[in-house]
Amino acid sequence: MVLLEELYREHCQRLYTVAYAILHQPEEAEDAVHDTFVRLAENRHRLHIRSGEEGRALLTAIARNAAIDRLRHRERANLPLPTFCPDVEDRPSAVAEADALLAAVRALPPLYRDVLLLAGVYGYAPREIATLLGISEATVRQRLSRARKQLKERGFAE
Amino acid sequence: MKLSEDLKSALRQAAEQESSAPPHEFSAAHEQQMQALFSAKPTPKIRWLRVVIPLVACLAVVMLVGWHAGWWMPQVNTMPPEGEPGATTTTTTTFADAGDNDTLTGDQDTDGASVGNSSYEVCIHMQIVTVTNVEDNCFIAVPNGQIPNEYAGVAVTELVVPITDAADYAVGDQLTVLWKSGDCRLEGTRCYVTPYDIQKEA
Repeated sequence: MVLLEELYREHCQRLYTVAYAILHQPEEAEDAVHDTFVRLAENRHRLHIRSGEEGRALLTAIARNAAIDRLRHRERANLPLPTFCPDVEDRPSAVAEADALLAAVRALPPLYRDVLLLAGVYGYAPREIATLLGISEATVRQRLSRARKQLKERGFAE
Repeated sequence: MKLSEDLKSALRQAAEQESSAPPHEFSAAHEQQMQALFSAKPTPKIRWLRVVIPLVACLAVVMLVGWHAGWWMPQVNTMPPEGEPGATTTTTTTFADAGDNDTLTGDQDTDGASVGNSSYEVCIHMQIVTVTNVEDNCFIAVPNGQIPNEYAGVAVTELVVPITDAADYAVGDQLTVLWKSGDCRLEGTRCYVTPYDIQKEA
């Protein structure tokens, strides 16, 4: 559990921000951060983190999904799942300067971008992603499919 | 899943550019929750397995060794031979060497025969006694009979016998105490025995 605490100390602020961007309530965002590490602890035997960058991406994905789960459980969860969740730090100047591909990637819903990153860059299988994020494998495949579709619509092949 | 290097790079960059906002001060309750998570022990099921299985294994080894070492031996129960009331009687199954020193057997005293055996297995001593004092965890008794028993050349005048329930005994009780050779300790003329059976005379 030493590794877990180290990860928490390193990423807690960032994960809180990711969760707060979805939940907009400090207590719930803190709970989502807690849920993230609970999920990480439960699945630590499945993890094959090879770099800090991969760990960061994984934690972000788990935190985002944990926040979405909490959102669903609220009374207001009858609202449709957001298809686009703008980053807290969505600066027009950054988008303007970015490569078109980067812009397209950033325009992807974070939920889709997360699974595409985990599967395409870090090599996690859909089943592993499903377990880590606490969603069904079908949902993972659906998000991957939609991410690829959106990139294709913007003119970018895989 | 194969992606182009450009796309991989863009995904990594996008992830790196994930939010950074002013630091949030986590509540004390949240920090407590996190500390509890970091200190969490393995699930009870796993912990139970880690304790029970080695324990059972050790127990099995101890039982196996004990069985081979003869720790669990069958009870030897010899009925005292009938004799005159109050007589001193001892019985032995086998004993090491014959001769005058084997006076604890009593056979030499009663029939004058000298009994000897080349092999030594178990020597059972049996003594009819009269209780003279009852304590909480033992009673003191004197051997019956006109001729006191001799043990290693010493005339034993008292036996100290451990008991579990003092209520079962009273001064004046006539008892037959049986013990295995070696289960006794001599201090002066007092013999501390560890009996394997105590029988009340009729």
